[in-house]
Amino acid sequence: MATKSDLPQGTLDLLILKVVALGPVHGYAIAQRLQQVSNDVVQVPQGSLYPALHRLENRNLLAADWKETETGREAKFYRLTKKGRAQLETETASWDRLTQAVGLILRMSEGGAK
Amino acid sequence: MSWWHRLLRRNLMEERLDKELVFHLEQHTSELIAREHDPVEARRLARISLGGPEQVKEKCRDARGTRWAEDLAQDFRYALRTLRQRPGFATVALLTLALGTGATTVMFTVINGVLLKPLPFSDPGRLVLVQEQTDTSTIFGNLWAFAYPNYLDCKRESPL
Repeated sequence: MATKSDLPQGTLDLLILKVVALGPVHGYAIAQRLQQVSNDVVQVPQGSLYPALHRLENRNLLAADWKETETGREAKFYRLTKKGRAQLETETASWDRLTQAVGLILRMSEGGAK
Repeated sequence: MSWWHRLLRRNLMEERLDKELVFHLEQHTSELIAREHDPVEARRLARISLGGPEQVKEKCRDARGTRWAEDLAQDFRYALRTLRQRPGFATVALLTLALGTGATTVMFTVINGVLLKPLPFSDPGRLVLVQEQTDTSTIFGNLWAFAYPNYLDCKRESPL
């Protein structure tokens, strides 16, 4: 199995926004989903997940409500705010630009460096 | 929840934070049990993957954005407690402050009245001091205050 990689700095917020954008979820489900979707390659630091969630809530990118889960337990469900959706779009775009640029540089052939 | 809410309803915030983390641990534990882990072992693994609960809570508190105000209030209470424990020191400190403030206020009031405020006349730059000079000097010199009747004489004979 592939070794687990640490998340590059600053990407956890973006990933959280993306997962929450798919529908209201609680913290544990966010951790689960990140792990599953990334095929266990990305190590989600659970200890940083909650501070990140609270920070995003504090910046009004996320909102939270206490609701019952399907098992009848009360949990804190996060959902995306309008501001959060806008932030997700801009950050996704800038991530795309960055990875494209880095990809171009890494695939640069010997002759291309002239 | 607004910043003020988060600050004033601190107990509620703490309670919810605790509840959220407990929920996470229990979910993780029961999932591990479902994957045929021993319950005790499952609980241990869940705790390890979350990390120290107090550290996580501290980071969440930092993320709340009310930290500085809470710390300020705490420092304030601590200062009051310390002062109450040492009344002698508190008295001296208070007296020093009171005297210092008082003396500075007095100095400023005097300087403001004497030096800074302009004289209560319409054109203070044109004020003159008039003195009389005699040919002979005494031990007091030869400059004398201008008597009011002399002033009246001058005023009468002046062309202005």
